[in-house]
Amino acid sequence: MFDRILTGLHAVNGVQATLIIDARGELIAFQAHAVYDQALLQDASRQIMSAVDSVQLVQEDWELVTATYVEGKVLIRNLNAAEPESRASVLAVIADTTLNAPFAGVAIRVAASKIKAALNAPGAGEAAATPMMALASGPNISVPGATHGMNGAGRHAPTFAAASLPALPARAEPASSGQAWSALNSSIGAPAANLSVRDEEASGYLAVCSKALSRSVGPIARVFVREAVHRVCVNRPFSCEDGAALVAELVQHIRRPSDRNDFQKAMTHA
Amino acid sequence: MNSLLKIHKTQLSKLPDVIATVVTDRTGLLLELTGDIDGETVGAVHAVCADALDQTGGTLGLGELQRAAITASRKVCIIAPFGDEVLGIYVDGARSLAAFESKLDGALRQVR
Repeated sequence: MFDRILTGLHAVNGVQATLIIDARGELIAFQAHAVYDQALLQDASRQIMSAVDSVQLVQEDWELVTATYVEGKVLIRNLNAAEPESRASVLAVIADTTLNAPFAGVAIRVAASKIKAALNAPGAGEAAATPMMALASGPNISVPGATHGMNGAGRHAPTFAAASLPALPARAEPASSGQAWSALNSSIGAPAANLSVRDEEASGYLAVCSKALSRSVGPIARVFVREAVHRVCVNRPFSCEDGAALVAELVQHIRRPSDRNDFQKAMTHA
Repeated sequence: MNSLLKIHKTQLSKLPDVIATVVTDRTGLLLELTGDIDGETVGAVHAVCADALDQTGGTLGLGELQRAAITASRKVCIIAPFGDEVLGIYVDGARSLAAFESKLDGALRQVR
């Protein structure tokens, strides 16, 4: 489904690889020069989505990220820009230093529109219920100077998936009742970023939680807490009864097992 | 005061079209702030974003991250890691980013 679209992007001078990544960081379609194999691009996809997740916390309406490196560029286009409260699926373009960024920007915008149209076409979701199965039977596209999804064994691995890119459900607005946890309010974030808490006790719990988490992840802790409360409470005010579910969500952000234990202990006594 | 913090106060925050600026350390701890912005939150996010993009560059063999521009409908955020610090600048999205980046480069050249 995406073969011609990605091939078109490779016509832009300097483009080395093009990827379509879903909201969970899974690589669902790619076209790349031989230097980039599927495993490497999958790793990069997760890192790209980690960056995208953080961008989305403060700029929900973001459209394009242009990352400039010593030896190239990565351009990341939001495929869900019209639905700012959905987690983004993205089109990423990896390029060397010869890339003409303004020209590439236009080509990427056009490609993103086509990908969105393809995804919204009837039957798009049925084309590949499981991306890897669809990829394995995907077309073998040939572009001069490029290989497409060749894995280490030399056989054509997943190249172009006809998989859908499901947007996660829109984040619900906080309930109008209850109190706002002003410590998390952001002048850059959308109003939906404000939290609603049931009472003072719940507000205090969130403050303790944020402080405890910050010992292992730093100041980003309050952002993680805000996002976790949205996930746990959906459209009702946060209360202390939600504490266990909140801690379970937050502990996933802590890499070191010892830090996880410390956090869980701290929250047990909160 | 190191040179980035000095130049942040005297030049970067005074560049035309700048809405807000934030300087944090690599862990996201807020060091300096100008403009109407929740510096603690966005600064932490900038540090995480810069770290993830830096890792992406390492994975792809593109080298060190020099700058990231995040374009939204009304504003552009430029994130630039700088030694132990991360600079974030919010600019009016209606203006030419290329022209602004040229001015920014001129100012940052004094630090590098």
